[in-house]
Amino acid sequence: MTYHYVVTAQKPTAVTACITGNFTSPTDLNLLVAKVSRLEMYIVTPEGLHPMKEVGLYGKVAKMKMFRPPHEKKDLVFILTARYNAMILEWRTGPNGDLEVVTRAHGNVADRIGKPSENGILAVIDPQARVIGLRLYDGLFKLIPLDKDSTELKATSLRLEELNVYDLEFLHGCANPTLILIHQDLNGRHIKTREINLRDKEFIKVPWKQDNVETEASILIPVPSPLGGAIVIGQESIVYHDGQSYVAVAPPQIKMTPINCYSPVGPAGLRYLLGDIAGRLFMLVLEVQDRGDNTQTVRDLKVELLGEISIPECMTYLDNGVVFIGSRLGDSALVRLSATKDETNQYVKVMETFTSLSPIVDMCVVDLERQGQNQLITCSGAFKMGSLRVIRNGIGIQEQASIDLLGIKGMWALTLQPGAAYHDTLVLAFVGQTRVLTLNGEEVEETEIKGFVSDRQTFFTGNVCHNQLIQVTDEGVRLIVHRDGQWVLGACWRAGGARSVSVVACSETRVVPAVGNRIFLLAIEEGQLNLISEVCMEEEVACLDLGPGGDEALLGVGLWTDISVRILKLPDLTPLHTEKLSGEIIPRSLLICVLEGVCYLLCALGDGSMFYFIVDQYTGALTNRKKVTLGTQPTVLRSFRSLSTTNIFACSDRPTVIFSSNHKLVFSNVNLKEVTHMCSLNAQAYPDSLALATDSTVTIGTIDEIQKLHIRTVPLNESPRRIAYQEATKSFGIITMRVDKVEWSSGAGSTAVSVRGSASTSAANSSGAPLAHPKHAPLAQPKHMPTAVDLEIYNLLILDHHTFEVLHAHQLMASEFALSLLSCKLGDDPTHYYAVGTAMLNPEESEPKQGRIILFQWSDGKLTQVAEKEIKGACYTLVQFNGKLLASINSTVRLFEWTSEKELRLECSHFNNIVALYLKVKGDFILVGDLMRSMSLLQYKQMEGSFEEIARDYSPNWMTAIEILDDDTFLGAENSSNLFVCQKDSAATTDEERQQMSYMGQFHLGDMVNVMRLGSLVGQHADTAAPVHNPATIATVNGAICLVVQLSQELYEFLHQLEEKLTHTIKSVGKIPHAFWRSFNTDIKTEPAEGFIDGDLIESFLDLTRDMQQETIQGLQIDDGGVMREAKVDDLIKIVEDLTRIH
Amino acid sequence: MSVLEFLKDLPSYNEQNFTLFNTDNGIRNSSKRPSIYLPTKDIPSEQIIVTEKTNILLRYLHQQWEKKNNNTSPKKRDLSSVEQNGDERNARKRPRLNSPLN
Repeated sequence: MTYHYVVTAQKPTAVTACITGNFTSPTDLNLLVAKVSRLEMYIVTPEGLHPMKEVGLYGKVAKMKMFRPPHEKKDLVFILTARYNAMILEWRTGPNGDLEVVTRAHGNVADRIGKPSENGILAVIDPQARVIGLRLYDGLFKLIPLDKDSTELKATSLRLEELNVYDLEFLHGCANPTLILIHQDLNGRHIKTREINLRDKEFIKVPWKQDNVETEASILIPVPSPLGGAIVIGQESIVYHDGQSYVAVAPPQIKMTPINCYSPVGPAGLRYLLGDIAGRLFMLVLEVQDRGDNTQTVRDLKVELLGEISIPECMTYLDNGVVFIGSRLGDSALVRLSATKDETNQYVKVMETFTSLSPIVDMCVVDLERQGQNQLITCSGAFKMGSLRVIRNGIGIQEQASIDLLGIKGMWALTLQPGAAYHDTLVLAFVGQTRVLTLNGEEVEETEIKGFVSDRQTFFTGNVCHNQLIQVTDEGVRLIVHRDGQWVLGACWRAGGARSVSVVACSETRVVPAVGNRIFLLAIEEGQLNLISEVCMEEEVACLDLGPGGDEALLGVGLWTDISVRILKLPDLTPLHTEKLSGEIIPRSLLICVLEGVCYLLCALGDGSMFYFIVDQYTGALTNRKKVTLGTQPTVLRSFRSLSTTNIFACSDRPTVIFSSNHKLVFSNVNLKEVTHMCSLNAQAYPDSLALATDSTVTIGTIDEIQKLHIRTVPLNESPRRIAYQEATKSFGIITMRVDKVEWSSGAGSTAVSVRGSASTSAANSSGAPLAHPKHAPLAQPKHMPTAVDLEIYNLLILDHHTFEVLHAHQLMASEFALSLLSCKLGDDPTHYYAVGTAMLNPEESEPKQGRIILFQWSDGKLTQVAEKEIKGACYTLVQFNGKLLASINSTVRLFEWTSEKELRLECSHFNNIVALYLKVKGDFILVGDLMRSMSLLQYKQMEGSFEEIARDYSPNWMTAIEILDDDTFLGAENSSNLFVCQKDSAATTDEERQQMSYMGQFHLGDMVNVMRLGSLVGQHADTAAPVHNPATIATVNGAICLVVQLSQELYEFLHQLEEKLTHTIKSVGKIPHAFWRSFNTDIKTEPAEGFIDGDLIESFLDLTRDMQQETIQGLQIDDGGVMREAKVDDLIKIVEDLTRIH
Repeated sequence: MSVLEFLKDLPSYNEQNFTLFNTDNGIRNSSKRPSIYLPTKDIPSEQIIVTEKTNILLRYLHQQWEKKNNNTSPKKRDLSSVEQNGDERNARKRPRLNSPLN
């Protein structure tokens, strides 16, 4: 058996619905955003959108609508999930002032029979909130009457004659709830209204209808009273109809691209925003005229293009001309409408963007900096919103200010204003000089401190006791005192002899300079420095630090030559302990500090590695010796305080924050490239900040409380499809798709014109099929076609791995689709190649009959095509396998050998699939993911040069991604958002049993997985690792990133109990049971989840109050060294916190 | 009608909203999520949504039959239809047992 744990590292980011209303109080203006299974509530403020609360649902939001019953002062939200759970939610302020979400009504509205509509779920609410209408199944319309007084809301199905319904709405101002719908039959699309008798639950009459409305009419907008009626949005025209009047317009602007969403502008109902799938924003205005009897009627419709926005999925007008644009294909945005055009001729201006990774189409896990920490590069977004996202885990620094300065050797913050609580000065040390910067509000200016030497490099400076400053340079120690309102030199100490001070440690009252192998202990008194003691070490001192303990503190000393750490005790500098460090690398930085009551000594070496010990503060003994690698350069250790806890900052080429959690040291990467020095800074303008120096700049910033994913965007402005990393050439290969318009000019044939600048058109170099003159016969203009059609152009882009600059674009042939990309090294050939698998698409063929595998070499800034192989189908996947090239081509799996003539030669094939979409390999084994026949395992027989199918999962799963977790365990994702794990059973007794993969687990993830890769985003550090194995990172259509890891049986069983207990503690919003949500669910079966732990639920344990935690774990037994005992809250916190650090 | 008129007097709920939005530093980017609401208090739903399991044809026939016999004993049948709707499991059997047809 195998056991798995699945947890979300990045929650879904695609916005699927948004509404504006008064949800949290009768006067609050709120924005509610649905992101797949999560709801985010915002409040509109003068400063912008302010986040309030996020709620997770145990279901995917299919429809979200708001309504206000006549007796309510606030808006309520109706939600229907993809698995037909209906709920009515209210946001209210609880007794303790916290916002809470109340499930006012809930229930499942699924029918046992019925054909789910291909046009998706439709849900509408009567404007007077009398009834909710649902179209879930073809031919049926479900009514949920909103009776205020009954405890049951009885949903009833009515027969709906119209089978193929595209949209429906309730009309305003009708005595009985009246539906309007767009439906299609053999003759075209029509609109029809239907009045509902709520008492008898039946349709009573058709007040009016209109046959043959606009072509491709797909959106209905009900117009509020007094006008009433509805607007019908078609592909090329817009119609207003209210039963009597009919006004149609065909504005040329909307012709080319379909409109897919709208938002009324305010409650009047005369203005509407329309968004199209190209990301253009229009405004539709109803012009009205008086009918003469004091009523108004629509005279005309006007449409105007306002500008470019994110490609919208939904949008909602907030206030004062500000609109929220929700997107599934990239970042969502907040935009402002303004009557004046901006520089780019637009009436919309983006105010704020909301990072979204969706859809993640492909990704690669790479250790770009070769530091043992992976980064994820995803192909995210589509069309003009296509981008690469560079994602890494770590602690973030929010930059507040930066100053360009070269060659900083040290940095300290001082308070010069006597008695001030804030730092006001930053001292910077350089080779041979020291500079002083005054922090004046946000401004920084250079200054001088009297008594300070500025023509030497400072080794240390700081505020010390009796309101004095200390400065240590190579010539000695200077004590600067504040006398008569100014700073003057109070005392000075110099080391005798030829040698000068090399390193120093200092506390409030003691300063310890080291000169060669001699260490001096000086007491800092008022206006004087007194030598207390002096010792001579065997070797020269490399680094030293004073521990806590005042007059009797410990002094840690790192020595040259013998590479050891010594512990001495003040005041006599008595040696207490000697610890030899292995190796020949000298210690460069030493730190003694107390974290969570435990005293640690950390000693960083010149090669970026670090030893750390627990120090006994009385005996000076060093125990629990551990070693970690932090970077590759000499590391400087500094302690700093953040959020009232002490932390350690390791400055190196891979900056790391070290903190203590549950009495263990935790190492967390910082999202900065390099830090050479740092100090805490608590200035008035920069409170609770850090000053960080690199080779060329000083950055002042605040530090994140916790580690999290950091996302950097590399815009491509076209759809990225595949990514591959080639370490040897320090490059990324990317397959992109760009949509060009083909334009026919009279007589001259066709020309493809790129619509906008994007990565492939702005590359430094390009090759392949030329843009303007396609080599093949020009496309003949079909009759009855618009004057321009879309043409999909595929490119292979080569990007620099650091700058992500597009170095080269190679355009593929017209109607050639690139489907796969691989960086590979084949056979004995030492060259690294990019292999691209393509398909020629011909609309008349049911599946591609032709394609190519092309090998490219990237070297010296040139892309050369090295080989080309014609294949009979679409090459969906390419994998390097035993030095050969393995490809899945339509239904086959084929292995190509790379010959010495630099040709691809077919070696063997396997035919037993419908469409072999995915391949993963390990050793001689090949896992194949089929379009609709789940997974199968092949073995390559090297001797015979053939494939043998050794096991198969016979369930009809439509696969979307596969991965090999270990030799026997295979992870699959299928298109109903489920995960499952299969295992091959080599030990089975019969052939039949061996050929069948057995199910080891199944789980509903709630999001469709597009890609799986082995590895995780977290570097593995010494003792912080949770007991999990074989991590796989998975990415989804909605921009979520999850991690699947393997667990031991004991841990699984323990967590399973905790999971079960948590389902009782944590109440589900919408009252959907957790077991229902996680059950494996497809069109044909629903089975309980097994073999997987829901890590998201487990981690929510940490968010409970201590009382709730205590209550939750009642009766939970834990194995404590072989003995079972009652688990304590702290045991659980420790286990769960460890688990949170795997992502 | 110009775009100016289109965008004139855009609706305002609270004039102050978005007035202090700071765009000095260009477009703001936000990847912040609101804090998470973790419900631990059991607040019972006021209403339960139930879905009628009766076949729509059967219901239609019942309705027709009721309409026809509307004058005979409406109260009794009202009751039976309530029962039939209320009990999900036996929805199919009940009507026949209680039906005055027998």
